[in-house]
Amino acid sequence: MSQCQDKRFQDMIHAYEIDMLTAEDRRQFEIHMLECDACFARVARFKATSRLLNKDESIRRVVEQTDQANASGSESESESTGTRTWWRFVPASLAAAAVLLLLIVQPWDIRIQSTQEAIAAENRLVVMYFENLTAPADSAGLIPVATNLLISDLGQTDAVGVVSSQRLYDIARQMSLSGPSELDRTQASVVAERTASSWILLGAIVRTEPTITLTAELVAAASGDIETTFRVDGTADEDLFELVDRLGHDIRAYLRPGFDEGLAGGPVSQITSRSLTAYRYYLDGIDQSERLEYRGAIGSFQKVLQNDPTYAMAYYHLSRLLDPALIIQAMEHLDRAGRVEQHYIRAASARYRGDIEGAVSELELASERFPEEKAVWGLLAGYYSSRGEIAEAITGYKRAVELDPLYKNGYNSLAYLYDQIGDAEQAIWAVNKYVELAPDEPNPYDSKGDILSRNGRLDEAIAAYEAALEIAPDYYHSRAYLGYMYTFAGRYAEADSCFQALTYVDNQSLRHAAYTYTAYSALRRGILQRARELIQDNLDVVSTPRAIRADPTQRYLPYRSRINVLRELGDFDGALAAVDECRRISGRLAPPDSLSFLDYRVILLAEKGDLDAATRELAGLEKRLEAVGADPSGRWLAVGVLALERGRHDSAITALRHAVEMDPGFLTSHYLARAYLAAGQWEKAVVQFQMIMAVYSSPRSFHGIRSVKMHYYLGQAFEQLGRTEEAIEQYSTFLDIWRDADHRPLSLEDARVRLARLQQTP
Amino acid sequence: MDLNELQKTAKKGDSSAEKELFRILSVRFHLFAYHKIWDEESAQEVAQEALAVVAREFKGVEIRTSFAAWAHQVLEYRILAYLKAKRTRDPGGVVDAEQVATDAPDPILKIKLARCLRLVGRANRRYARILNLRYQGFSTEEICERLGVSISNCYVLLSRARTMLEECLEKGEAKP
Repeated sequence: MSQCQDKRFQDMIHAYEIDMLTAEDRRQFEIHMLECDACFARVARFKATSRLLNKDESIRRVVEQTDQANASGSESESESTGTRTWWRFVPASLAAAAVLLLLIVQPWDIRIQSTQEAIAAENRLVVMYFENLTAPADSAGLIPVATNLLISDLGQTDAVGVVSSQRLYDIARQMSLSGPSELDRTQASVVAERTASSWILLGAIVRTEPTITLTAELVAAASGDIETTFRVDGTADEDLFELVDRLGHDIRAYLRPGFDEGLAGGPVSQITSRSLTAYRYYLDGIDQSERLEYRGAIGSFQKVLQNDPTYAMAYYHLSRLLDPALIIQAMEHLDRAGRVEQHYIRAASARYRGDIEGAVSELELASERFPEEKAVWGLLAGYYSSRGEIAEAITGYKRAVELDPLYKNGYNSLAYLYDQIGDAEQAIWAVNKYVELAPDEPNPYDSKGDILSRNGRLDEAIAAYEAALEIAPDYYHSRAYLGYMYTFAGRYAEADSCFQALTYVDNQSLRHAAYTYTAYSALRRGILQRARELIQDNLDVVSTPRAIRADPTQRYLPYRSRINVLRELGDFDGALAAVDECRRISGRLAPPDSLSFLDYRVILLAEKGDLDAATRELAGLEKRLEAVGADPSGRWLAVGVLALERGRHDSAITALRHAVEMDPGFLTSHYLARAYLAAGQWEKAVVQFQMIMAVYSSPRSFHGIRSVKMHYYLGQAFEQLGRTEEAIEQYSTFLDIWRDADHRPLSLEDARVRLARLQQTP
Repeated sequence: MDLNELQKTAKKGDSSAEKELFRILSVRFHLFAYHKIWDEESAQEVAQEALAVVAREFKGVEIRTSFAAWAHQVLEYRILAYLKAKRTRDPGGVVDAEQVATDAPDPILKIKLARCLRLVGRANRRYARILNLRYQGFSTEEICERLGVSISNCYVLLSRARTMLEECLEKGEAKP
């Protein structure tokens, strides 16, 4: 592609792309582009980037932060050096001891040799676990200490690209080992290949009281040839930390001749601990965390601090396991953490202050500098997910599982995220991976049940929840959701059994909620008198003085259920009273002028037919929302339902589409489908109803009456489209589910008439 | 490529010239409309409407300036009409869920762009400043005044930054 001949227009390209050309310049530039292939091609190629620059909020934030950082003269990344590793190795013991070295002559060349070749900074080094030649059983636990210290020391700079301890741990587990301490030297080349390392370091410890000697051989990964060896003889006054510093220095000097050691930062004890005892407890804590032994991990990290109250990463881990406020102390001792660890601490600190943007920026920077740290990607993905940036979250978790294919929680998160973007195939793949990695845990099956139920696979979802309960009969989430699924499947006795079982659990909140669940199958079947009785029973349980003292908000759920029942029975005044009760109850948690449930009031008044009152309520709600600058989906739901009741179908559809876009839940989607139906948009109504009915969810269970009536509405849409068989199926389903109903709404009679007519029609 | 010549040839009845003329206009109209509307489907619609007017009128209309300028004017009017109608129809800016799905950004590009903006923004601080002021709603003139540069200098600054940004997106590094 040739260049544009007119420099003036060439210079305008980026200004055009970010809409900074003056109006006249824009006009001239576009006219120029009509004839200049070069400029047109450049702008066209940058189109997607231009859109992000112009429209994407997160990109704007990046620019804002960069500009602010420039202005303040500071940078968000750390200037201090530190390790790029996690401490994840299993220590042999907690005994504190001096470390000795034994000089081995054969087969190593003990002299440090320089080579003709300069080893580029990009060449990566993997440090295998040291051997303890004087005490092979290593009861003093010197091997993990020496190995991890050296990794930390080398990781303080980019002089040598060292594979992190975390990465080694992940590799070991992929090789079905419990940790890298089990990797032996025969596997070194495999490890080097998996970590794309050019060099392998094989170290050894020899302890002859009162001194320690460290030796190591540097092996070329490709050939297996020993490149050179190192040896550090300690004096009686030197501890292991100092010896590791010296060894690190020698390795750096060999691999990066001319490297300025001044850039290496302080001694390794600066970024770990000056206390060997503290450091050992730290390794213990990391290992216990890795095995989900959180109580043990808390104990270990607390012991770290008893021996070294400046150990920043101990505070960090305790802030995650015990008390978030401990991150403040971690920040106070930030200079005592390695490079990647400083990112974690700063991100956690930002989050603690409520600065999620700051936390994300910190982790994004960490992901650039340390792209092989699984934890960085996992944390970043979590933040993206919480901000609704689903695609970015998926990218993060995918990267994390690439780095560690055994990262089961990553697969769990991916399953839900894929489900959120409607990629059922990937969601099911991810959850199946989770099950594969943790077949003896209930949560994978529970997650699988969730994914399957959200994608219309009812029977399989039931099987998954049942599997979870087989492993853990007290897995409450599975029990509740199995109850919902049984309800949808028409297995009412089993559903009732599930919910009844939950009314006996220890957890009071769940127990009280379960009383409401017991009404679900009655609601679904239209046995409203029974549903009312069950709801009243629930209210009786949660309205005792003791229950109210314990948790006054427990009455909220039964009142919400009551709204739906009374609405169906046509008792709108009763339903409105229940709404007001919900407002009173929820108001205890929210400010006195809480806006909650005001949208419900508008909906009920509109459906009652009192359109003027509904309009007044809506106006009041909108005024209050405007005053606080809020625009919740409930507002658009109320606007849409009122328009629907007024017969203003187009306006209803517009408002309800907006509500769905903000909150694609059952209620908003349901009303949108009904608006399409009312507007005569039969195809869209079919698509919308079918989309809702493909999801077996808790909200759909809660709105049992509306959920069943969708069969009736869908039948009407099919009928209008001439899809007789499908219409018959839907009417039949509706009538079948409500065959025992004690409530005779017009829809029930109408469905019978329609069905009869369709069945008679040839 | 001389659009005016192409139009004259097409006007005389040369069907291949006419085909080429509308091929060129079609892709460019779409791009221009997209840079105003930022929605694929709507940009396509507006571009098509403008092309329909051009197709209808180009043989008969007397063009005093240049064909390119006239065709561009046709498109501008269509874009303005679209934006005006959008504001009237949707003062609250209701978002179409389908539209959002169609225009969803490539997440990899977004992450790369974020990274490159940081790198380029640190290496070229004025670029970060210009962009940030633009996001805050300052006009080009106001931004230039704040930076103490002329408008054409501002364009040059942006052009240089774009080169860095483009290289970073392709190669992963930002060299000033």
